[in-house]
Amino acid sequence: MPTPVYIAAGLKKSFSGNPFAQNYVLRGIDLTVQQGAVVGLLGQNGSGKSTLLKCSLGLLRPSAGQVTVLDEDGWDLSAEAKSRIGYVPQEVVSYPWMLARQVIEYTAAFYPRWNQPLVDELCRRWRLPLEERVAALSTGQLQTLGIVLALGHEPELLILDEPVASLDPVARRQFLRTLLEIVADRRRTVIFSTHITSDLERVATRVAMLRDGVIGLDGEMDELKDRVKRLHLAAAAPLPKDLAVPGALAVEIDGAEASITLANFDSSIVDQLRVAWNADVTVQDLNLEEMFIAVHEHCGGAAPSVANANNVKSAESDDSRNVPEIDCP
Amino acid sequence: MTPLAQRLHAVLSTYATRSRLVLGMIFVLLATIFLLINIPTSGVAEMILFPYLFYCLLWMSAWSNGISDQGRWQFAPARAAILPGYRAPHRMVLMGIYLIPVALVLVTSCMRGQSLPGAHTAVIAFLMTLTIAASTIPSGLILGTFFGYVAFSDYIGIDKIPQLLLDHPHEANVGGILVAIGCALIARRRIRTLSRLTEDDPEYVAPTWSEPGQAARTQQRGALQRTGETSTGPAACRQTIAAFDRWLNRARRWNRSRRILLPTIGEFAVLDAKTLALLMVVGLFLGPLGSFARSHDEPPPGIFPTLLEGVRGLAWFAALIAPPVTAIVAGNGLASRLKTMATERLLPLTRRTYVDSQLVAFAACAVGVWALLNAIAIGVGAFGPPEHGDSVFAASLVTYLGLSFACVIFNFGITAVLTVTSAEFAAIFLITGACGTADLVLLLLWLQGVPDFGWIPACIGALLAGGAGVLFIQHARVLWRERELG
Repeated sequence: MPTPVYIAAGLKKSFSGNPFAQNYVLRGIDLTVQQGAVVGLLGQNGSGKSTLLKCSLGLLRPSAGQVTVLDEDGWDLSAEAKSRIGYVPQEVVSYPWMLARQVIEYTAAFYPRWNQPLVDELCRRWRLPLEERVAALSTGQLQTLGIVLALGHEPELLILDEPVASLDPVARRQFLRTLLEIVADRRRTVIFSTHITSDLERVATRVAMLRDGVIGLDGEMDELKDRVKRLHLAAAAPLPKDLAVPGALAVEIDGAEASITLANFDSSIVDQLRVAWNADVTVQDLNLEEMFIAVHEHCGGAAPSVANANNVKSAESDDSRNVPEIDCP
Repeated sequence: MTPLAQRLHAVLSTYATRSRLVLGMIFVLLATIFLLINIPTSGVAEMILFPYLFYCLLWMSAWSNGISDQGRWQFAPARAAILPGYRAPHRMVLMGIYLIPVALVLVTSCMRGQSLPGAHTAVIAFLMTLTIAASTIPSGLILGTFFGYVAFSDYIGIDKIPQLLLDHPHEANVGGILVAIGCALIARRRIRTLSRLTEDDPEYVAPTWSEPGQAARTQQRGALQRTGETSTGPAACRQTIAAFDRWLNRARRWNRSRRILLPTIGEFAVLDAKTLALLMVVGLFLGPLGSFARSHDEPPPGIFPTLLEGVRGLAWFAALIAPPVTAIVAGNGLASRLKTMATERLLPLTRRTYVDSQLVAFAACAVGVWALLNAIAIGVGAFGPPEHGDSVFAASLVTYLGLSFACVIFNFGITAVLTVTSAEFAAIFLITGACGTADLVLLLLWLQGVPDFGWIPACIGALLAGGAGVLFIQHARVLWRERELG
């Protein structure tokens, strides 16, 4: 059984100084990551992904709860623990007066284990202009530099906050390839946030979706794909507008046809629906993006629905007992 | 295009919703009125009022500089070029804000029946214009003027100007109004220049820096890249930077406690490279010139005594002014590193090691400047020959050094605390207030207290200020260790 390298327990974070009007960005995160896992954090803008990562690294102090990283309190990491962690922030900031090469040398000087051949290889592969001053690097090049700096000491725990947001498609593909090489070593653990679900599908072994400061959906990638399905109903007669299905993330009804997204698919539901509504039922696999949209539509998120809004019905509004698996605020 | 009134209202709302500018405006209006009140010229009242007036002037400068920044911020983004009828109302509002204090001074001065309303108006218009245009004035010109004044002060006799004006009020008022009009025209031109900012302008970088968003960052990067291409400057600067590069290249061999100081040193090295080169040039040329000017009614004493006299004047002034200001800049050092701090704090160092090493480096910089400049001043005899005997002179010098050192410690400590506990604008307000008041009180203790009351009050003042500074530094260590980096 692999040991957990990261544990968030009841983690809350508020930026309000007023104790009577707390505006929580994180509202009770519970997340345990085992060694060797590649965890993708998904969430809309403002869902708390960056805040969660910063609380994990001691850049923000949790308002409540605790984060344990490599067996140490996240707020007070020792130098030894830090030497085992790599971090790529959303916006890489470095020293504008230094050459890229000097920044690498400077950073390398702090780490007892620094794999210079790996860094050289990454710089060559990503065509990082080493003799250019940081001030003159493009946003993508700066991001690349940040990634190189985070990988140079071959960290056991790599935390990436939207690392590929500024990279072009070629650089992004190369980065993902490198990430796959890194995670081939099962002692390495990666936690990364992103908006690009296709990237996540390529590298993540596990996905945690944040919604309004809590984890709305969490599970191993394969398990999620088995669990979350969409059913298409074509009934003999028009379906009721308030059709409720146990465990439904979203129900869209259009006359005699319906589309139902289930959080915990069970083949028995197919039979029940077929019998109850005298309907043809087909089961559709969902990709991560479709799951993401379903979670946010279900929870009243801003993601647009492809169906007529009047016909979209959350199962929770009628009977919250129907969706026990989704921890939705 | 929408009606001008509608657009003006919209523009005004961008200023009215920034509390710092509104509060600043209220303060400036109060300060300008206060400046026109007849001020007692002796006793304790003067000792208290002098720092306060200095504070008012500092604050007015900071506020009008804030308006200039706001102007740049309004005109730099792409929307300024895209939105129809964007520039005209923005220019009108900026000009209106500039003219309000100027007009207020003129009206208040006339209403109080003062004899020099024109001259008063000229002073305030000059100050406002100077601060609005400060970022476009070459630093060489500012430093040249500054040191030029120091070197030529005896010759120019600026202290005689008020009496001269009082003796010729009509000419002073007419001249003052003409100066004010000239200043207003310069300000108008400056505002027009601001309104036409493009990405090709170096100034474009500054305002967009604070605007969040990927697109803005990309724009900044582009502008910064161009600035970087042309900012190598004169040969002296390039050599400095090249030497710095060689020094950086050896960084890997440094031990860890030195390594963490590298970015701190780097910031100072690059920022100061041009200033130092400029100071050397200014010192070399203006010192002797000033000395010649001072001795214009005496036969020239020869080149070396003349040179020495110029160097003494500059050394005295530099020793008096530079250390307290450097202490404020150094105390702000950690706050200026907030952007990189998130990355640096994840280097394999404890938070205590990181904060302490940075604070020590910045404090060492402030104390180093104090020690160097005072050593130079003492070395060249800038504090004058012992007029009342060696022992009195030595005691006087030691007291001065103690007070000066206390200023440095106090300024550094309080700045380090206020930059972590207060929002940016409040911090500027509090730091200028606290440091300006403390430094001037200590200076007055020295200039007036010592002749009247002896050394004891000055020594107690130095001990109190220095002790408070040490406590502030201790507090700053804790605050910066616990500082969140969101």
